[in-house]
Amino acid sequence: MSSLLGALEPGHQFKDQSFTIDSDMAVAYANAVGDQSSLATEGKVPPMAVIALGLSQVIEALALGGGTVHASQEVEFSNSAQVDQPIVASTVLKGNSVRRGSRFATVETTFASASGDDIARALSMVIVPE
Amino acid sequence: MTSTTWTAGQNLPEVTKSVTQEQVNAYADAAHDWNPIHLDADFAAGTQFGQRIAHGMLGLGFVSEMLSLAFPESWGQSGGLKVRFKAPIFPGETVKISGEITNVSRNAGVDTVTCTVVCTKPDDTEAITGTATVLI
Repeated sequence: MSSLLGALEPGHQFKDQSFTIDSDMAVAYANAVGDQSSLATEGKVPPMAVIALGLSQVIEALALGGGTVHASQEVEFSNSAQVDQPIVASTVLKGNSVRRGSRFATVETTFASASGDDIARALSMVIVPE
Repeated sequence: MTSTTWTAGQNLPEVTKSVTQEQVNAYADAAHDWNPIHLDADFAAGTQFGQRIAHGMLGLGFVSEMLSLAFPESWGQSGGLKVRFKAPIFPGETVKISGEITNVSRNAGVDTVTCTVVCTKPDDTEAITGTATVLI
């Protein structure tokens, strides 16, 4: 289901999302991935957890259907996120086109602290069945 | 590990993961991504893959773990990664995550380490491929 996405033009700015990753969430993420790097036990959020949770919010905001698959991903980290640190995610639709019966959507999300310090940037392409 | 230990041609420490449906379920809860293509066998049977697949971001979490292990002080603060998801990882598969340094350059006292990364399936097909850079 991509009716919402189908109505949006590249450049569309989504409403900012704020979220916090607490210690339980960081540990749950690390356990799920099987991450042995022990960041979660040092008060830091595994870097990709920020991107994963942010992308989930974008998927939810777009009401993407169950057949959506991830095609490509770029990430850049600027600072480690700390547990319990409020994170603000700002997302812009960068691309939105239909090819061979599937919609290709690209969104860019920047993650920052509440005070505006950069944490990460992510560019995600998903393929949504039409 | 300091940048001086890295040279082009070196391999990153490999990570091997046996992916289970239980792990995919746990990841869905941890990442708040409950797309039924990952969780619902009946739904997934009707997709192009014919069965449930692991989240692409779970595979990318494996890649990130490898990079965190290789560059513990730098990956989360100055890392960059660009990947394509080329093939799905199915629960029950064991995948290998590997990487190789392709370039180390120095500019203004900062080393930039560039490496390839790949997540390889049991049949040697590539599930994820890309490049990573880390400033050290």
